Amino acid sequence: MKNLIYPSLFILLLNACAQPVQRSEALIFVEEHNIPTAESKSVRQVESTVIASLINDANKQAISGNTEQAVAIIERGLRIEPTNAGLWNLFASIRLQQQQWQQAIELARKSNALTNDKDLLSSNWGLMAKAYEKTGEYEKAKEALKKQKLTS
Amino acid sequence: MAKKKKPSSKKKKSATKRRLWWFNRWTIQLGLILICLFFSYCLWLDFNIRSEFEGKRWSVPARVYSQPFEIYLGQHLDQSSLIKQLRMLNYKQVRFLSSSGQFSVSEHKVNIYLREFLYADGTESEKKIGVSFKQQRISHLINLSNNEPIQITRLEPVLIGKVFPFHDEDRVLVETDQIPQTLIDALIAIEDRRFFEHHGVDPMGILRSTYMNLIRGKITQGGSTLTQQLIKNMFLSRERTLQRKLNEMLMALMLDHHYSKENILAAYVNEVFLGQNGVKAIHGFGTAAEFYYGRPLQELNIEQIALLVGMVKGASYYNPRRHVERAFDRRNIVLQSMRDMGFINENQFQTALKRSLQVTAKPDWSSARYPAFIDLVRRHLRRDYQEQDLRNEGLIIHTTLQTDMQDLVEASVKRSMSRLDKRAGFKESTLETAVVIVSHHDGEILALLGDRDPKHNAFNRALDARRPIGSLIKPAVYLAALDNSETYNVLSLLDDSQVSIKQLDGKVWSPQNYSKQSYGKVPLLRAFTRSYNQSTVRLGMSLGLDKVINQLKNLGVEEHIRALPSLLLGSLELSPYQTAQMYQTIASDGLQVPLKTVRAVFDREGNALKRYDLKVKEFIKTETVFLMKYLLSQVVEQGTAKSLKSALPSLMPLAGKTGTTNDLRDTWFAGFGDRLLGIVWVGRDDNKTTKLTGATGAMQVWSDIMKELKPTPLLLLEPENIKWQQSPDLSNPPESCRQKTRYPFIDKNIPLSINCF
Repeated sequence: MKNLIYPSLFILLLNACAQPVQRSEALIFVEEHNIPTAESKSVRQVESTVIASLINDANKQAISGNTEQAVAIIERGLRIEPTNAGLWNLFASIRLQQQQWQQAIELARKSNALTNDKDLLSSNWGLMAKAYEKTGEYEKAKEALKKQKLTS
Repeated sequence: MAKKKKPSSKKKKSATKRRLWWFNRWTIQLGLILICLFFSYCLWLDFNIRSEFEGKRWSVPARVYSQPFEIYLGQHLDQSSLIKQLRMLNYKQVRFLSSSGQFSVSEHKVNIYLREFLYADGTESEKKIGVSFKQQRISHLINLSNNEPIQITRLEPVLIGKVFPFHDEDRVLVETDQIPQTLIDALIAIEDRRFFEHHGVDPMGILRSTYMNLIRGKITQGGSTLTQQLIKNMFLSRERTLQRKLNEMLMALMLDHHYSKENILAAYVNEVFLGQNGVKAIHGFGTAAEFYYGRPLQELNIEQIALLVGMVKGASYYNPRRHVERAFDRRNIVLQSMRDMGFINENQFQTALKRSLQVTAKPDWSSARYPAFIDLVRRHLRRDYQEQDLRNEGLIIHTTLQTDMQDLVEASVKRSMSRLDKRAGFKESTLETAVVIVSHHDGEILALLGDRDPKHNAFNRALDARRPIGSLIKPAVYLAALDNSETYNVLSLLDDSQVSIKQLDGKVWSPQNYSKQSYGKVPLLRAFTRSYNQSTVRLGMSLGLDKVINQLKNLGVEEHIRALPSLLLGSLELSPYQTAQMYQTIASDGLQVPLKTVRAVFDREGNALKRYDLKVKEFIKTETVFLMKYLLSQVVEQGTAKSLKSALPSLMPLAGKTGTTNDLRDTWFAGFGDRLLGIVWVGRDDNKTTKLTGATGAMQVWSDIMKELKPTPLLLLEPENIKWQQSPDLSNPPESCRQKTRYPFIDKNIPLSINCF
């Protein structure tokens, strides 16, 4: 199960820094109502360097089996940047590692609700597919795999 | 006669001898019995002392902490805010850092010697950090020990309350290895000079104190050793009798025989009475350090420790807050003794003498500082802990409260409520309020107010005031519609003509719009954003009340809901806290997180007993909630809450919903941005009219709060199956019809044409 952490690490670290821009690109309100966005973008970008460091720490903990400590670090990161889809994705993968299948699914959903980044969406669908397989919900697992392929 | 006398004398002698023999025999027997009794008494005492001392488990109140203050690179924070936070934690400003609990300030920079602390996710050791600021942000963050950059660190949380034992004792346990040497020195110097030499009782000490008292003509020194004082505090009454004194000496000898000096000293340091905080007795130097100086015992300097040790003689008589001069003189006597004994040198003595008492203002640990929040913490903890454990076991409780946010909310509400009273033509304090501020992605309650006066908590309105929620219920009705995406979308036409419904009791219910007008065919978007009642009731009735009730359940309403038509206009009575759970589910994209106040609980040894991890559950489809969030954002953009746009222009866009109940009795506002959710209720305890609406009442309070909190604007990110369709602008037909705008639809149900109604 630890293998799940490694492939997503690179994506997550990239995403931790890139995600704010992706979110703001999708903002219809910001465009329509001419709200200044430079400020909020820079806030997110600066904060994300902190988040990248926390993701790194959480990964180290998860890889060495300290999953509870990893969860604590992720929760700390989420208090600083609750809309960081990369953090939610890592949270989901750790719950998968802990065999908490239902939470893994819900957290991957949460991550999907906060991003339109294809790599991250694909990773989340992959996580969901694995978790559904474990809970014996094969139809949902198949559907998730299909969505993973569509987004990758 | 002499002959006669001899035998009689002999007889007498032998009788005397016999009597003596019998007397001696009885005396010896009595003596032996007494010795036996005494021995038995000693054994009994010994048994009692040992079982009591070894089994001694101090009653320690639970300590409730706020959330810690995070410090990270790039954080939006200015120097003065950080210094304010440090002062709140009683960090001492110095020129050069020498021990934890200190900070120094230079231009655009603050150096901090952080204290060690057991956080909810583990212990962090003390360390020196440097924080540099540029344009109100943290530009550099370094570890001063090795000059390595760091990304993130934190200040320990604020102690926001204690849950006291029933017998009202307050105690902060100090372990043997945590007792500062200065404290031991001061105690030895003033209370018991031969503590490490005697066996529990010190005859030399008694002689010396008697001599000194005779010379001075008054009682300035007591002959009791620290061990005797401990015995007196732990086992005996305060009466001054010879019997008690003898018992005390006997028990002191026994205690000294059985236990090491270190153990006795540690017990003494934790037991000694050092003052009174209201009805709470302050026991031990650990508690006293917090109570008088707001700092851990380990951080106190010589003169501060000297004062606390001086107070052992009479905590009330030498109370430094009430009797400054007395306390000052007593402290100096202790310092003098320390100098005489060679524990401090002349230089240290002279420097300490010149210093003031340095005591802080009396701290408020009685849960009275944030009573509404502490009340909720206790209710949450009662699910997992016995009241007895909460009071006695010294639990360490990490909560979600953000003290700086709570303080801002309190100050803001105070101003707003005075204004609203005036606006409605009421005398001051007629209107009441309750506020819940939530970080909606993780469900953490950051601030809570149950009364317009934050110190009052006779009635915690945030939790216990269940009032009809009025139009705050409408998202449930419209979610039920949007969930049926084949029939309803944001522009579906609804019928806003007059409606009459025959109820179970035979009466006819004919709800009206707030304006008393009917609007005919209206797009769903407009019916929602302008909070039309007639179209909402028609919509709800056509969907079926069961569907609306299902949505309310999905939104986290747990109690029984009666299927009455009036439900559609918010006859359902909920507390602001319950309403916050409803809107958390919407703000957080349909992924519900139970609201929480407690992050983790530790036992007194620092072992984690329970962590309240973040748990998420999807209750409503993301695309349906997206449409609802869009509608709620349009309430602020063009609906009943549009005055927020001019009140908070830099914070737009935000989402929200106004609510008003019959006869303007209750006014509500629920609003959120990208991270923060706020629920405000304004009403009256006598349930009479407020003369205000959701927009002129609760929303004003909400708006004032958000001006202070500056929430991150709402960022709507459409799910993959939501598409935006170009359309005439339906916000204000026919004028707006010439303009174009975009509306969100579920991709498989995009309407082919849109008419501008």
